[in-house]
Amino acid sequence: MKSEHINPCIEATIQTYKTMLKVTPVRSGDLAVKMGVFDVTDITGVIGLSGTVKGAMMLTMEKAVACKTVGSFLEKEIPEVDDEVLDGIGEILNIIAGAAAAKLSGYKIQLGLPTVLQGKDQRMFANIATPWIIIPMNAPGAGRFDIAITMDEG
Amino acid sequence: MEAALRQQVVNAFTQATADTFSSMIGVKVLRAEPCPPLQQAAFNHLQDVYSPSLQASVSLRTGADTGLVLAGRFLGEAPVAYDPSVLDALRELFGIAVNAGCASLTALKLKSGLALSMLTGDGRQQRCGKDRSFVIFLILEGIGVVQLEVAFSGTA
Repeated sequence: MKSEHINPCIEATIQTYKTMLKVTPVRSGDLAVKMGVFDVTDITGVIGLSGTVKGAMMLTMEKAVACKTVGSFLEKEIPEVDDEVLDGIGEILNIIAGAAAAKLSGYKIQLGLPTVLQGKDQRMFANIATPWIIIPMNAPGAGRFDIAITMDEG
Repeated sequence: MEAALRQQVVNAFTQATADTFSSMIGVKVLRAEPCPPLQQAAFNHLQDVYSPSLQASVSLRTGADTGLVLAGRFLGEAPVAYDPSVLDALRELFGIAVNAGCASLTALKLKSGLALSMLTGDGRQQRCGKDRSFVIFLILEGIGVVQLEVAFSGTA
């Protein structure tokens, strides 16, 4: 995992939110490196990155934030998490990952299928070779979320 | 992607998972049959498989108790909680199954992506942005059930 992987993720997230949700998210805290078992929030989307690297991106947020985020995306009010919200989070993550992959110069990256998990007490496991870099963000009107990336170039 | 090829891929991962459980931890798969998605999964193993002509996501899921028993058989001791050694064991075991599935489909030249392991508490649900998915229950003798899902990308 290299530092130059992080900025394309942030730029892609900002670009996607500006284009698709008409808001400009901002960084809302320090980067964190997570390995071993760590907590993620109720709604967690993951997408694999393959090609010249093996990696993944993750988009994670609370249920209320997911409803507001997908509601902005679809331009309607969504009161609770349903299939449409989960599909919407998967689609937003897919767009972010596609934009980040395009910005990661020198890599030929193929995107996997986005998968979104919903549940209380969700935890991700990362071994020492593939820690996650967590980037806290905040989208005005929607709320706090994390975008994260892990890569194994070995 | 034609239906016969998809079925061949699903069969290969089903067989590879059964063979891995049998050879690595001495667990026999009694039956493997299609089923609706399991809502009670506690451990989720997600891994992409891909080639120039195919893009799919393979997931293996178990309930909490079944996952602990499988990890215990793999580690040679009986764990009581999902600590990093248990999660590492399940990631390794399920990763072997996925890689064996890729290896058995020689002509497709499939590669596997990074394995992701997640634990989920109450209220589970999983969705894939997929074109078509196949869900298979693997009923393990004396242990429980493992669910295999192969989801194919719409572009494959």
